[in-house]
Amino acid sequence: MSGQHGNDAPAQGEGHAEAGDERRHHDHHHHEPEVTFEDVNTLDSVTFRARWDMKLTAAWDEAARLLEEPRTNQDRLQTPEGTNLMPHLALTLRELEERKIIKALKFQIVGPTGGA
Amino acid sequence: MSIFGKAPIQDVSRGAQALAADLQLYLRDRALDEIGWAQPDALTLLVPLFATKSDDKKDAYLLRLCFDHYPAWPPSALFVNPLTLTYKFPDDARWVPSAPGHPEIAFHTNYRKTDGQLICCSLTLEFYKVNHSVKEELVWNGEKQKFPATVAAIKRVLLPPYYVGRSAV
Repeated sequence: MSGQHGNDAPAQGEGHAEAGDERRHHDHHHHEPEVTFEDVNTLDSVTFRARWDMKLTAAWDEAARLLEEPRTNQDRLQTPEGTNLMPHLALTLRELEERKIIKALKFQIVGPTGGA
Repeated sequence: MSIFGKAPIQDVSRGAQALAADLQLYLRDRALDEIGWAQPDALTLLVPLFATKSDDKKDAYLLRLCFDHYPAWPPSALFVNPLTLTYKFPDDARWVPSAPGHPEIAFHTNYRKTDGQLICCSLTLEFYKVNHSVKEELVWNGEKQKFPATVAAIKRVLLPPYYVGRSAV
C-alpha cells in the first residue's frame, strides 16, 4: 500500500518501517527464546526454550543441568565471537540482546587456560 | 593420563583420526566451507579469525592448526601469512596479533628471541615445546578437551581491551 503514495511516501514509509520494526521487536520478544550452550572442551551442546526475563546465570544453570555437567568455579561463559560474559551473568536474556552484548542466543562454556 | 612434565610425542596416524572425528563432531551438519575453514591435508586446519580494536575496526588473521601430536597434546597453533600459509620471522610478524595484557594468553612473534612464534596458552602444543611453566590443573587433558577449546581461547584475546593491532618486529 505504501508504494501508492508516490513521492510523499517517505515520511509515512518511515513510519510504517518503524511500526514494522516495533512489531517485529514485539513479536520477537513475545516468543520464548531458544538458547544454545556449547561446552567447547567436550563439544557437548544443548538447546532449550528459555524466557526473555531469565538471567544469564539461570540459563547457564539450566544448561549445566541438561548437559549433566555441573558448573565449576573455573568455568566461564563467552559468546562464539569470544566476548567474555562473566561480567553480565546477572543480566536477563532481553537485556543482553537489547544492549547488543550478544549477537545471537548462543553461548560457549569454556575453561581456564594458563600462559601469558 | 596427564602430560604434565612430559615431552610432546608425535603420533601422526592418531592425530589424523582424532581430527577427523572431532571435526565431524564440531561441524555437526555443516560443511567445512560453510564456516569458512579449510583442511589442506589430513593433519591441518586453517581458521580465519577477525580481531577487533577498540574503535571497532577489524583486522584479518589466519590461524593454522596442526594435529600431529593430537589428541594427547593440544594442536599446534600458529598465525601464518595468508599468502604463503607459513610463518617466517621477521617477515611475517605483521600476521601475528598484538594483544598485550591478557592474564592468560600472550602472542609472541619470536619467543625468547630464538624459539619463533608462540601463542602462549596451555591449549597450544608450542606452549609445551618451549617447556613453559603451568599449574597442573591447567594442563591440556586430551581425554576431555578438544581442539575448539584452543580456538575459543584465542578468540577471547582478539577483542578490546586486549587487541591493539598487528605485531611489529
